[in-house]
Amino acid sequence: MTLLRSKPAADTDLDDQESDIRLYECSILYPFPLNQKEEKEIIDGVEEIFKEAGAREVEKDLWGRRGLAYPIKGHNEGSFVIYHLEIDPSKIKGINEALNIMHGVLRHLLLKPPAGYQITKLSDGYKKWLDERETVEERRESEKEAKLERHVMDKAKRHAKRVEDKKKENPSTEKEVPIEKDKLAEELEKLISDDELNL
Amino acid sequence: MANNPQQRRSDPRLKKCPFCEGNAKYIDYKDYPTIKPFTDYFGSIRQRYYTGICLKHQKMLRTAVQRARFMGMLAYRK
Repeated sequence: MTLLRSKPAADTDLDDQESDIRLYECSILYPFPLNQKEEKEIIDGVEEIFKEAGAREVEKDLWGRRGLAYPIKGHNEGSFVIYHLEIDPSKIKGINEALNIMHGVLRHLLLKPPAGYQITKLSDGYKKWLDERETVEERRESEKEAKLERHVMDKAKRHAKRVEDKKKENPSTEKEVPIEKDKLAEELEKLISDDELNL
Repeated sequence: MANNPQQRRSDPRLKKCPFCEGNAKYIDYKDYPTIKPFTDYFGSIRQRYYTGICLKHQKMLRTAVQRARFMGMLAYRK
């Protein structure tokens, strides 16, 4: 206990002497298939607990229906609510106990957000993710195209080089080819002009 | 056979930390879709050797996965 008390004291001396209030993040999981009345009861009950502790609500994010990775108390689906609150640190223990006892809350997690934490709503985060994904896909595609282009260019260069090398290695063959062609043509003409051939 | 380039593994030193590239200061347990690829089929956290995460971010990832598991976002065990 002494250790726990001594730590925040050092912080408060430096940062906020006048108000010993910190930002906390509380996520709550309750079962999904519920009546509107029951759902409202749970949320009201949770907010009442916060109110009793003198917490100020900064942000409230309703996630809605979510599938669970494993069944909790027989429920395969649940809904999340995420609160960002400014609470006096001495009242955290009481809130935790009250939430533990509370009926209808499957899980809850009351945490101090990490340093440099930015509160983002789920819908905003989803939009951001969508935009980022598009840019990433575009970049990947452009990289792919550049790679393919380079590959084609290399291939063409190699082919050109090979042809040039061949020319250098045996330049005599190229001169013979037209002569052969002429001979061929002559022979063909002879064959065609032959009257003895009957096809 | 060991020197076959197709069978050789990529050098683990060449891998870069995906969180360092995005300058992540923290890993949030609430965006479990980003954490999920760092767990394997059975739900356990992948080793640093295979993912290339730096030690700092691996420790953050560990707490994030533990919290997400508690809240039912990720599975403890398949």
